[in-house]
Amino acid sequence: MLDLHALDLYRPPAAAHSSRLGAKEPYVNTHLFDKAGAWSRPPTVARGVMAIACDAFDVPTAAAAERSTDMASLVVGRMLAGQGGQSARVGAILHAQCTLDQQKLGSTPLRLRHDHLPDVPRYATIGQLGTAGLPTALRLAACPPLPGGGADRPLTCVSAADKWLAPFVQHFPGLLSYADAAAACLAAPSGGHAYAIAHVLDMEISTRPLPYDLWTAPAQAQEDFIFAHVQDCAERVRRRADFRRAGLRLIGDCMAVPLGERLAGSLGMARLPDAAPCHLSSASALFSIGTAIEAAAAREQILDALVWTASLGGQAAAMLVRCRPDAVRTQTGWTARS
Amino acid sequence: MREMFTIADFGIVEAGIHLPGAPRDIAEYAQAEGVDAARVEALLAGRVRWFHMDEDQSDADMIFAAIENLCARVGNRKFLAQVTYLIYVHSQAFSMAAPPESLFSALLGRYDTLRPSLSFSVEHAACASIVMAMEWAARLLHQDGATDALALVVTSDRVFGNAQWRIRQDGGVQSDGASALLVGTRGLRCCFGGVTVSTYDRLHDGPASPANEAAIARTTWLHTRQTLREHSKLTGMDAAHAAAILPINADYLFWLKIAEALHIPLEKFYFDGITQRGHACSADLAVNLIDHGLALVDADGWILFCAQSNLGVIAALTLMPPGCRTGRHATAPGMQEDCAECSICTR
Repeated sequence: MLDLHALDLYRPPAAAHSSRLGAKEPYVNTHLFDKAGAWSRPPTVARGVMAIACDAFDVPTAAAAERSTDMASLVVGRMLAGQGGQSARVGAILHAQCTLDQQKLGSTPLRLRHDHLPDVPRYATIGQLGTAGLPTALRLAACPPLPGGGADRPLTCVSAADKWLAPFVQHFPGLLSYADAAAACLAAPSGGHAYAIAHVLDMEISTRPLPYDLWTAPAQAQEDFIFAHVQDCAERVRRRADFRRAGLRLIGDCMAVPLGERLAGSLGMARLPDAAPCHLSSASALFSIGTAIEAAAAREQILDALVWTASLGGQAAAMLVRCRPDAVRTQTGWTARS
Repeated sequence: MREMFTIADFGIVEAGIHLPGAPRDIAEYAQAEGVDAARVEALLAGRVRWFHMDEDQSDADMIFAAIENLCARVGNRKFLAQVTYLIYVHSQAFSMAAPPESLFSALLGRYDTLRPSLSFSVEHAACASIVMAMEWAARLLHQDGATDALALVVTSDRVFGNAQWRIRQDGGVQSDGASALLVGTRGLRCCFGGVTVSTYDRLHDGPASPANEAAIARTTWLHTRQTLREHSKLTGMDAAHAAAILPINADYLFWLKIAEALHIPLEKFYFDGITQRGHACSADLAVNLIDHGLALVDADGWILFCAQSNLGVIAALTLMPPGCRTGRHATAPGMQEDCAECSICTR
């Protein structure tokens, strides 16, 4: 399906939070307190409220001036730095993001094009998939172009970045805490390249209507829904792949509840360690792939991983990823042997 | 997957729109909001007059209404079960559910036969995103290969805040609005003739600073002119020969300059949308198709939609009567030989 050629990961330093809402940035997101803004603001956050006290939690947190766009540009720049002439073969930039950038009039994929990939003909931010948009961006990267649409540029730069700002909800007690994070990978339809760090062999992507109100449903109900949704995606992929259970390792989003353990038990699979002690937002799936590649490199043998991600908004995905042991570690990620 | 295909295999089956509330008069609105009189004069000189706003409707509400309009125009709602790809487009950044909530979950909750295999939004190219979404729909349908598969492209744009945000330019008023465009391979009202997306990414930060705002105002019409030139070269179809050019519903004075520079007769441009509807961003394509474009295609004309943005992205989309097999509905010498099937090439 897809070959991955490079990966870069970024987590800003952790900081302590005592509000369920994202960081307070003056003059940012104030539109959400207008009448029309109520439809795009969490309904549990009253007009003018920029903090809701909760027990303290620590998550990677971007600096006040550090935009999600900055984080995306950082990882894409670092990833491309070691790729030599490969940039000229990039035909698309696909960026996954759940949150809004603090400079809402700007465009992340255009910034990435401007900073790193000036001739790329196609680009978009892929959204409305909660924090589970990354597999869809990869799925689109595997879609062939229209005639005359750039068959000579088979690579896609796929990135993900989120920064949580008030009045959006960053911390769901008993369920998860979202971190600010970014990641990028270079992907191409399978077969065109001799070297890769990993191969995405199959994926199942699903969106379901929520059977409850996201903002008020008990954490247990949300966990159970996500569990069943991810389990279904994972089973579909595994059935198609006809993989032996013993050879496949499970890895996915880190949540405050033992969802990973539940899934591993249900699927009869061993787990890889979580990539972080918190949910890495839209970048989560790429962090999981990075951890799986690390495990393959440490064992010096191919490792097949079932990588799952899910959003509280009703999206889930499972990807079958074959990780290569000869991937070369960079300071902040992985690149293919050249 | 099809072995042989052209972009003209794909096109728009039908369109639906929802412009909420009764039309509002910009002069009355501006007076009530205390907008500078000179700015109002500039708007009126730019043929801006009517627009729509309703702060009591969510993006989901507006899209539901646009889909209902689409169902009414199709004559049934059975097609919803054939929708394999669901694509959401919006220009206004805040026109979305609060993350991590998703508009798609709401849509799937509303329509129990709507079960696409892939859903995603196309964002961050402002009003040009709708053309990109059309291209994504064609690419996915091509890869899918099932001739009865459909893509449903929905849009919603709502303006937040006061007149400062609704009147972002001298040449237009931002209207609230939604649309639903059904893309497929069968039963087409029009087929795609070519897509051009031009990018001037120096403007990636949008109108976030006075310098950028000035650069956008200075360069957008020039970029649009260049895009239309490139699009004509790509398609072999001279814009001057189109039955109509459907611009986004703003920037009348820019279009005058473009018409003059490209020697396109002014009467080819459809400007009533600027006056009657306002600039409903991503919905302008469907609005102008329903109000004007589809009737021209029904009468064997081909039309050109052109979308600008305040981010340096300009997009052009040619729409033709269904049947042109080459996707080159050519007016350039020799090009007609590429297609002997469609009604215009064989004329």
